[in-house]
Amino acid sequence: MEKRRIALMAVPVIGAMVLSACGSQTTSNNTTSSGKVPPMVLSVDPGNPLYSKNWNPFSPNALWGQAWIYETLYYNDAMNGHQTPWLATSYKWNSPLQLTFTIRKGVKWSNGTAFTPNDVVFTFNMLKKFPALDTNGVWTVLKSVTAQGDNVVFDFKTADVPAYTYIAGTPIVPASIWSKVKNPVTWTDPNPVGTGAYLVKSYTPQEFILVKNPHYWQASKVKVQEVEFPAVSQSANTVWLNLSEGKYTAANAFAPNIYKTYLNKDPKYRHIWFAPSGASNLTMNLTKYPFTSQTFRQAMAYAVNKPEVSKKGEYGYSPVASQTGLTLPANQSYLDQSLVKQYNYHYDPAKAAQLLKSMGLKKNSKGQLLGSNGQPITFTMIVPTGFSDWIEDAAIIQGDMKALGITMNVQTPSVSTWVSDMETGNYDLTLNFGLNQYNPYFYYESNLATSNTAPIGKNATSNYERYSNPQVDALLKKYAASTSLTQQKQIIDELQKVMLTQVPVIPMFYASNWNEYDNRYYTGWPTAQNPYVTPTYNTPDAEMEFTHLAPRK
Amino acid sequence: MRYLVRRGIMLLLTLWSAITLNFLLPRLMPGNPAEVMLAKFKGKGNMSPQAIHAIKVMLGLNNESLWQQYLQYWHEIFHWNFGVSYTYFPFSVTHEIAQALPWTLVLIGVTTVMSFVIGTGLGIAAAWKRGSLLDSSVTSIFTFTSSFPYFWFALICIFLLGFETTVFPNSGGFAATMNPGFNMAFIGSAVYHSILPAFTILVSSLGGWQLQMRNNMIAALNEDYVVLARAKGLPERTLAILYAARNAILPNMTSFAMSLGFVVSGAILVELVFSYPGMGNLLYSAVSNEDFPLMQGIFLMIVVCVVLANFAADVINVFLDPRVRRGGGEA
Repeated sequence: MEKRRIALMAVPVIGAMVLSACGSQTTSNNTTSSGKVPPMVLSVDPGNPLYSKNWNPFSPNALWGQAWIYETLYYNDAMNGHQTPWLATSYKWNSPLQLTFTIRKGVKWSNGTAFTPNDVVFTFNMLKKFPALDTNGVWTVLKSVTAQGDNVVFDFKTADVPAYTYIAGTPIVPASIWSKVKNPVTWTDPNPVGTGAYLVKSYTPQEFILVKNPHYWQASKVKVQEVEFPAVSQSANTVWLNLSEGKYTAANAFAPNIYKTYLNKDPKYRHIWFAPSGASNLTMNLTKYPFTSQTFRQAMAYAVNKPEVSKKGEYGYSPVASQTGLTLPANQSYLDQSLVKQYNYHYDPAKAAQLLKSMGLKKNSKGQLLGSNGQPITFTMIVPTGFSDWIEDAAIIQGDMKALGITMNVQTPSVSTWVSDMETGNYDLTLNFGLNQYNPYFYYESNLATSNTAPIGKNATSNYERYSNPQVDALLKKYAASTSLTQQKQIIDELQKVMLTQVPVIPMFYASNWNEYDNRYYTGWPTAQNPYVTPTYNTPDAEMEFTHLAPRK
Repeated sequence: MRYLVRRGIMLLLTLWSAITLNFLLPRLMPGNPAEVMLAKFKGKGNMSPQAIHAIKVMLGLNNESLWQQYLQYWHEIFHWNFGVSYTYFPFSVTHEIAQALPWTLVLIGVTTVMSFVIGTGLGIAAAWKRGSLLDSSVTSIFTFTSSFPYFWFALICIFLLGFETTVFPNSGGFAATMNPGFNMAFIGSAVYHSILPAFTILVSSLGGWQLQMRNNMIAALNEDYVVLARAKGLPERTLAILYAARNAILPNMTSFAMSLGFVVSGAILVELVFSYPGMGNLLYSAVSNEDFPLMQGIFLMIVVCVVLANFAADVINVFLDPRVRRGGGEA
């Protein structure tokens, strides 16, 4: 989001610049025939403005390059749910309280020592010893992690089958090195030793270069010899200039008009695929009138012009989200078509007005909708300052409310105030990110579970609208303890129904993963037709992607 | 002498209150850094609700009383320890400042001095020959350039000189492939990268000095003592430099000392536009990430430098201006 903030003030200027720069594209037409392939340049890691040399994969400020060095037990695609065995060859639930991974043989750390189940056990026990490293909280449900031959056995104290995603996604580090580190929380891991496809070739504060690990366990799949990571400028303008100039092989930059800035300069080779992630929600404070009323919330779901928000506010990059909260089309198989048809949520102000009328709400002579206390209904929507797209979204929603006779104010507090207001419940209405996970359980659990909320004034962890329903809690608990796909699906059906009937939140649009790429020299990029990976360049997506890319022949 | 002692006491009082304010302000702000960090990462990947707890543990955020934190704060200041930066965790505030400071000192320091010297010189010349071609051209050009919005001007420069014609690099402090060090190649690269930002700073700041000096100088030239000196038949040069300019420069001197103090804060716009790795950039990211320790470290430095620079200006005034010496301090 940082980039967008700077984007705000510079949009008109840069638009004009890029337009007038159309004639200046010169660099790239002549190298393929000679057989020389220019290096792969990825613009993903933001310098601040310089890099800090920190390869510790557990550190929130680690260099992005660590995702090419450290690997996980399984690759689980956050978008389509595909599972690919990685450092483990298989896994099995012995019971909802015991999970076993069979560890791959023949894998070597980049310093030559063998990778063993002990490394896995060590990694997880380190997370237990240093809770600051355990950002996914796996030890809130785990009891113990032990090695048994080629297997690593995870015993749970409370059943949590979905925790598999987080366990399988934990980067594994070598025990021989990390066991000597006194405090892995503050360690910057200056010479990273991993199992991954790449090694650090060189590092400067403005650029690091990774080179293929010749002893990688699936080395035959890795075709890109070197990857350069120049520090992404903090100035959005510079990023856009570089993007339009074709300095990057791939980037994850946000640009307000990607066609003009990037694609139209070289439509044959330049491409984008903005993979959709979890739904961003219009979050209402359910403890405040009128959002306490289910009918009012249903009316809201009809009143908000989602297509307009997606098209104008989100520049058409982020598709409209389903009221079920499922990430579509990835979660299509979970979708209960008949239910969706029955409620048929779409932009329909007449239906919204009719629902409000059914609540007995009337307008006064000025056209203001009066609440049950006889006062005009007004509320305030907060969106964080600098999120220019969200602010535009809020303006559209403001217009939709006005059409119903509701006065909606828009405020733009700082990011931290916004987060803290959501956490403590000090707001009426806001927009918020959804989780990006294939498994819809995570979306429902974070948004609906009572355990993730808190009374007004206390910090809620993720259920900011403060929805609480014992039935839903029971469903979530049942899901977490179930290893049966059929049963899990039934539960997701029930939760969809809750979303449609009670409207605890209004999913607005699927946020995009910005992703631009140039396939003049390198091919095999993930596309909407072949979404084998979500191109986030985070762990573990990066390794998956780089076992598919290859220089153009 | 009494004047200097009184100034010294004022200096200590100012320092104390500034440092205390520096402690209080971030703590009075709404929100908290762990949340900012979380918000940052929510946009990026998948973090479970447990993450915020992990982050709080990692940053060592605790709930000590304000008074205890204050005592702790003074203790740390005297040990030159400003804690660990939240944004650049696990690197310390001192480490980050040490990395950024040289860039700013050189770029902003040199341009500030250059801009003062050139601007003031041109101001003297323009006032001395007022009405001449030199005066009207220089003054009107500077009136124009000093009213540029800096951001716009810098972007145009980047676009024309860093993108359309790639005469200069469009961002950064040195070539990406280099490691900072004391060798000719690196210094050369750093100088090459600093030309464009330095140029934009000079263009936008020269005007201020020139116009101020010119106005002061014109006022001084109309004073009786200048008329008398001219009547005595003193050489033109002596008259301009030693009589008129020496008095006219006093207000400029004070602003110059102040701006030297502010050099350590960097130039936020310049450094952001050019992604220059200096203090302005560091301060910007500290503020936007609510990185309390880093903010405090930087503000403390700025406060100390500005207060000391002010003090230095007072001392210099004592030597330049006999009225201050005799008048007992109401300068």
